[in-house]
Amino acid sequence: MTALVFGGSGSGKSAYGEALAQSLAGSGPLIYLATMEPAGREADGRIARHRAQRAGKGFLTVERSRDLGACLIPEGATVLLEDLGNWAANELFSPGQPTWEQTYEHMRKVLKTLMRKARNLVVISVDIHRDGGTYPLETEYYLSLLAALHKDLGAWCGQVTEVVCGIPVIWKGEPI
Amino acid sequence: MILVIGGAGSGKRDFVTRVLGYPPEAMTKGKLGETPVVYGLEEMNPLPSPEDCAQAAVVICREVGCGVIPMDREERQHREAVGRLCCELARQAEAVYRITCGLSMRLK
Repeated sequence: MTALVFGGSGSGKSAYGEALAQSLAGSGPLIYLATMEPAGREADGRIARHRAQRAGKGFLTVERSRDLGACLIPEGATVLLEDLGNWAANELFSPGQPTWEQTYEHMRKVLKTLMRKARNLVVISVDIHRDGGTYPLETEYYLSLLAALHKDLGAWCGQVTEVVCGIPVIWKGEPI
Repeated sequence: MILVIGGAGSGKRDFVTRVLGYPPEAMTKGKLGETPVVYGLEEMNPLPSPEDCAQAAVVICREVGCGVIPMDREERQHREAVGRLCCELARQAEAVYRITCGLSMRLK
Protein backbone atom coordinates (compact mmCIF):
# COMPACT_ATOMS: atom_id res chain seq x y z
CA MET A 1 0.00 0.00 0.00
CA THR A 2 0.99 3.62 -0.43
CA ALA A 3 0.48 6.19 2.32
CA LEU A 4 0.93 9.96 2.46
CA VAL A 5 1.78 11.59 5.78
CA PHE A 6 1.87 15.38 5.99
CA GLY A 7 2.01 18.08 8.64
CA GLY A 8 3.73 21.31 9.65
CA SER A 9 7.26 21.72 10.99
CA GLY A 10 7.79 19.74 14.17
CA SER A 11 4.32 18.18 13.96
CA GLY A 12 5.57 14.65 14.57
CA LYS A 13 5.02 13.51 10.99
CA SER A 14 8.40 11.71 10.81
CA ALA A 15 7.82 9.72 13.98
CA TYR A 16 4.34 8.77 12.79
CA GLY A 17 5.65 7.86 9.32
CA GLU A 18 8.37 5.66 10.81
CA ALA A 19 5.94 3.81 13.05
CA LEU A 20 3.57 3.35 10.11
CA ALA A 21 6.39 2.01 7.89
CA GLN A 22 7.50 -0.37 10.63
CA SER A 23 4.06 -1.78 11.16
CA LEU A 24 3.48 -2.16 7.41
CA ALA A 25 6.87 -3.85 6.93
CA GLY A 26 6.37 -6.57 9.54
CA SER A 27 9.52 -8.67 9.20
CA GLY A 28 10.23 -7.48 5.62
CA PRO A 29 13.05 -5.13 4.56
CA LEU A 30 12.69 -1.52 5.62
CA ILE A 31 14.31 1.23 3.53
CA TYR A 32 14.63 4.85 4.57
CA LEU A 33 14.95 6.97 1.44
CA ALA A 34 16.45 10.26 2.58
CA THR A 35 16.20 13.19 0.16
CA MET A 36 17.76 16.05 2.09
CA GLU A 37 21.01 17.38 0.66
CA PRO A 38 23.50 17.79 3.47
CA ALA A 39 23.96 21.51 2.89
CA GLY A 40 25.08 23.33 6.00
CA ARG A 41 24.94 22.94 9.73
CA GLU A 42 21.17 23.11 10.11
CA ALA A 43 20.62 20.31 7.60
CA ASP A 44 23.35 18.29 9.33
CA GLY A 45 21.60 18.75 12.67
CA ARG A 46 18.25 17.71 11.23
CA ILE A 47 19.79 14.67 9.55
CA ALA A 48 21.51 13.70 12.83
CA ARG A 49 18.24 14.06 14.76
CA HIS A 50 16.36 11.89 12.30
CA ARG A 51 19.17 9.30 12.32
CA ALA A 52 19.03 9.07 16.12
CA GLN A 53 15.24 8.79 15.97
CA ARG A 54 15.53 5.87 13.53
CA ALA A 55 18.41 4.10 15.30
CA GLY A 56 17.65 0.51 16.21
CA LYS A 57 14.37 0.48 14.28
CA GLY A 58 15.74 -1.66 11.45
CA PHE A 59 15.89 0.93 8.66
CA LEU A 60 18.48 0.67 5.92
CA THR A 61 19.22 4.28 4.93
CA VAL A 62 19.60 5.26 1.29
CA GLU A 63 20.49 8.89 0.62
CA ARG A 64 19.40 10.33 -2.68
CA SER A 65 18.48 13.92 -3.40
CA ARG A 66 17.42 13.26 -7.03
CA ASP A 67 16.78 10.36 -9.41
CA LEU A 68 15.01 8.32 -6.76
CA GLY A 69 13.76 5.94 -9.43
CA ALA A 70 17.27 4.53 -9.85
CA CYS A 71 17.32 3.20 -6.26
CA LEU A 72 17.63 -0.53 -5.86
CA ILE A 73 14.67 -1.69 -3.85
CA PRO A 74 14.76 -5.22 -2.47
CA GLU A 75 11.81 -7.44 -3.16
CA GLY A 76 8.99 -6.98 -0.68
CA ALA A 77 10.52 -3.85 0.84
CA THR A 78 8.71 -1.09 2.66
CA VAL A 79 10.08 2.32 1.70
CA LEU A 80 9.79 5.46 3.83
CA LEU A 81 10.46 8.50 1.62
CA GLU A 82 11.39 11.62 3.58
CA ASP A 83 10.42 14.00 2.28
CA LEU A 84 8.49 15.03 -0.81
CA GLY A 85 8.91 18.78 -0.23
CA ASN A 86 12.66 18.46 -0.15
CA TRP A 87 12.85 16.19 -3.12
CA ALA A 88 10.59 18.52 -5.18
CA ALA A 89 12.93 21.44 -4.43
CA ASN A 90 15.98 19.35 -5.37
CA GLU A 91 14.38 18.42 -8.69
CA LEU A 92 12.86 21.79 -9.63
CA PHE A 93 15.97 23.79 -8.73
CA SER A 94 18.46 21.25 -10.10
CA PRO A 95 21.42 22.43 -12.22
CA GLY A 96 19.76 21.20 -15.44
CA GLN A 97 17.01 23.83 -14.93
CA PRO A 98 14.07 21.62 -15.91
CA THR A 99 10.70 23.25 -16.56
CA TRP A 100 7.75 22.88 -14.17
CA GLU A 101 6.10 20.39 -16.53
CA GLN A 102 9.26 18.31 -16.94
CA THR A 103 9.80 18.19 -13.20
CA TYR A 104 6.18 17.26 -12.51
CA GLU A 105 6.10 14.49 -15.12
CA HIS A 106 9.45 13.14 -13.93
CA MET A 107 8.40 13.05 -10.27
CA ARG A 108 5.05 11.44 -11.07
CA LYS A 109 6.85 8.76 -13.03
CA VAL A 110 9.36 8.11 -10.25
CA LEU A 111 6.58 7.93 -7.64
CA LYS A 112 4.76 5.38 -9.77
CA THR A 113 7.98 3.38 -10.18
CA LEU A 114 8.53 3.40 -6.42
CA MET A 115 4.93 2.34 -5.83
CA ARG A 116 5.42 -0.56 -8.21
CA LYS A 117 8.80 -1.68 -6.85
CA ALA A 118 8.05 -1.38 -3.15
CA ARG A 119 5.54 -3.52 -1.31
CA ASN A 120 4.67 -0.46 0.76
CA LEU A 121 5.57 3.17 0.21
CA VAL A 122 5.15 5.82 2.90
CA VAL A 123 5.67 9.38 1.63
CA ILE A 124 6.21 12.18 4.11
CA SER A 125 5.46 15.74 3.02
CA VAL A 126 5.14 19.26 4.37
CA ASP A 127 2.02 21.37 4.77
CA ILE A 128 2.97 24.78 3.35
CA HIS A 129 -0.07 25.93 1.39
CA ARG A 130 -2.14 27.69 4.03
CA ASP A 131 -0.14 30.81 4.82
CA GLY A 132 -1.70 33.18 2.29
CA GLY A 133 1.63 34.70 1.34
CA THR A 134 2.61 35.72 -2.16
CA TYR A 135 6.09 34.75 -3.21
CA PRO A 136 8.59 35.26 -6.03
CA LEU A 137 7.59 33.37 -9.17
CA GLU A 138 10.02 30.47 -8.67
CA THR A 139 8.65 29.87 -5.16
CA GLU A 140 5.09 29.93 -6.53
CA TYR A 141 6.16 27.31 -9.09
CA TYR A 142 7.51 25.19 -6.27
CA LEU A 143 4.28 25.56 -4.25
CA SER A 144 2.10 24.59 -7.20
CA LEU A 145 4.35 21.62 -8.04
CA LEU A 146 4.02 20.29 -4.51
CA ALA A 147 0.25 20.92 -4.48
CA ALA A 148 -0.14 19.00 -7.75
CA LEU A 149 1.85 16.05 -6.37
CA HIS A 150 -0.20 16.12 -3.16
CA LYS A 151 -3.39 15.80 -5.24
CA ASP A 152 -1.94 12.86 -7.19
CA LEU A 153 -0.89 11.13 -3.99
CA GLY A 154 -4.26 11.87 -2.42
CA ALA A 155 -5.82 9.91 -5.27
CA TRP A 156 -3.24 7.10 -5.37
CA CYS A 157 -2.75 6.47 -1.65
CA GLY A 158 -4.66 3.98 0.45
CA GLN A 159 -4.08 6.11 3.52
CA VAL A 160 -3.62 9.89 3.83
CA THR A 161 -2.85 11.27 7.28
CA GLU A 162 -2.26 14.77 8.61
CA VAL A 163 -0.21 14.84 11.81
CA VAL A 164 -1.12 17.62 14.25
CA CYS A 165 0.86 17.91 17.51
CA GLY A 166 1.78 14.25 17.10
CA ILE A 167 -1.89 13.27 16.67
CA PRO A 168 -2.78 11.52 13.41
CA VAL A 169 -5.85 12.92 11.63
CA ILE A 170 -6.94 10.42 9.00
CA TRP A 171 -8.14 12.02 5.72
CA LYS A 172 -8.39 8.79 3.77
CA GLY A 173 -8.31 5.07 4.61
CA GLU A 174 -8.29 3.29 7.94
CA PRO A 175 -5.84 3.62 10.85
CA ILE A 176 -3.14 0.91 10.74
CA MET B 1 -24.86 28.09 1.47
CA ILE B 2 -21.97 25.66 1.54
CA LEU B 3 -18.50 26.87 2.52
CA VAL B 4 -15.44 25.17 1.01
CA ILE B 5 -12.00 26.06 2.37
CA GLY B 6 -8.49 24.72 1.76
CA GLY B 7 -4.92 25.68 0.99
CA ALA B 8 -3.60 26.90 -2.36
CA GLY B 9 -3.86 24.25 -5.06
CA SER B 10 -5.60 21.77 -2.77
CA GLY B 11 -8.41 20.93 -5.23
CA LYS B 12 -11.32 23.05 -3.92
CA ARG B 13 -12.96 23.84 -7.27
CA ASP B 14 -12.45 20.28 -8.46
CA PHE B 15 -14.25 19.09 -5.31
CA VAL B 16 -17.16 21.48 -5.96
CA THR B 17 -17.51 20.07 -9.47
CA ARG B 18 -16.98 16.42 -8.60
CA VAL B 19 -18.94 16.18 -5.36
CA LEU B 20 -21.31 19.16 -5.26
CA GLY B 21 -22.07 18.96 -8.99
CA TYR B 22 -21.31 22.51 -10.18
CA PRO B 23 -19.42 22.66 -13.51
CA PRO B 24 -16.60 25.22 -13.96
CA GLU B 25 -18.94 27.56 -15.86
CA ALA B 26 -21.09 27.82 -12.71
CA MET B 27 -18.16 29.47 -10.89
CA THR B 28 -17.06 33.10 -10.89
CA LYS B 29 -13.87 34.44 -9.39
CA GLY B 30 -14.19 37.24 -6.88
CA LYS B 31 -17.69 38.34 -7.83
CA LEU B 32 -21.02 37.53 -6.20
CA GLY B 33 -24.37 37.17 -7.90
CA GLU B 34 -23.13 36.06 -11.34
CA THR B 35 -23.15 32.29 -10.81
CA PRO B 36 -24.16 29.91 -8.00
CA VAL B 37 -20.52 29.41 -7.00
CA VAL B 38 -18.02 32.12 -6.10
CA TYR B 39 -14.33 31.41 -5.56
CA GLY B 40 -11.32 33.52 -4.65
CA LEU B 41 -13.17 35.12 -1.73
CA GLU B 42 -9.78 35.76 -0.08
CA GLU B 43 -8.75 38.05 -2.96
CA MET B 44 -11.84 40.28 -2.86
CA ASN B 45 -11.10 43.78 -1.64
CA PRO B 46 -13.22 45.06 -0.03
CA LEU B 47 -14.57 41.77 1.26
CA PRO B 48 -18.31 41.25 0.79
CA SER B 49 -20.71 41.09 3.74
CA PRO B 50 -21.70 37.70 5.15
CA GLU B 51 -25.27 38.46 4.05
CA ASP B 52 -24.20 38.89 0.44
CA CYS B 53 -22.07 35.72 0.59
CA ALA B 54 -25.03 33.79 1.97
CA GLN B 55 -26.90 34.41 -1.32
CA ALA B 56 -24.43 32.12 -3.11
CA ALA B 57 -24.95 28.36 -3.21
CA VAL B 58 -21.26 27.68 -2.63
CA VAL B 59 -18.50 29.98 -1.38
CA ILE B 60 -14.91 28.86 -1.94
CA CYS B 61 -12.16 30.49 0.10
CA ARG B 62 -8.45 29.78 0.32
CA GLU B 63 -7.05 29.34 3.82
CA VAL B 64 -4.66 32.25 4.26
CA GLY B 65 -4.17 32.58 8.01
CA CYS B 66 -1.53 29.98 8.85
CA GLY B 67 1.81 31.65 8.15
CA VAL B 68 3.87 34.47 9.57
CA ILE B 69 1.69 37.52 10.20
CA PRO B 70 2.48 40.05 7.44
CA MET B 71 4.43 43.21 8.31
CA ASP B 72 2.24 45.28 6.02
CA ARG B 73 -0.77 46.60 7.95
CA GLU B 74 -3.23 46.37 5.09
CA GLU B 75 -2.26 42.79 4.28
CA ARG B 76 -2.40 41.88 7.95
CA GLN B 77 -5.87 43.35 8.41
CA HIS B 78 -7.15 41.80 5.20
CA ARG B 79 -5.96 38.36 6.19
CA GLU B 80 -7.59 38.61 9.58
CA ALA B 81 -10.81 39.88 8.00
CA VAL B 82 -10.84 36.85 5.66
CA GLY B 83 -10.54 34.58 8.71
CA ARG B 84 -13.35 36.34 10.58
CA LEU B 85 -15.59 36.34 7.52
CA CYS B 86 -15.05 32.59 7.14
CA CYS B 87 -15.97 32.08 10.81
CA GLU B 88 -19.25 33.91 10.23
CA LEU B 89 -19.90 32.06 6.95
CA ALA B 90 -19.18 28.74 8.66
CA ARG B 91 -21.71 29.66 11.37
CA GLN B 92 -24.41 30.30 8.76
CA ALA B 93 -23.46 27.50 6.36
CA GLU B 94 -25.42 24.29 6.09
CA ALA B 95 -22.15 22.48 5.45
CA VAL B 96 -18.44 23.29 5.67
CA TYR B 97 -15.82 21.26 3.84
CA ARG B 98 -12.05 21.50 4.18
CA ILE B 99 -9.95 20.26 1.26
CA THR B 100 -6.38 19.00 1.23
CA CYS B 101 -4.48 16.79 -1.25
CA GLY B 102 -7.67 16.63 -3.33
CA LEU B 103 -9.48 15.00 -0.37
CA SER B 104 -12.34 16.47 1.62
CA MET B 105 -13.27 16.50 5.26
CA ARG B 106 -16.69 17.68 6.34
CA LEU B 107 -16.23 19.94 9.36
CA LYS B 108 -19.90 20.82 9.69
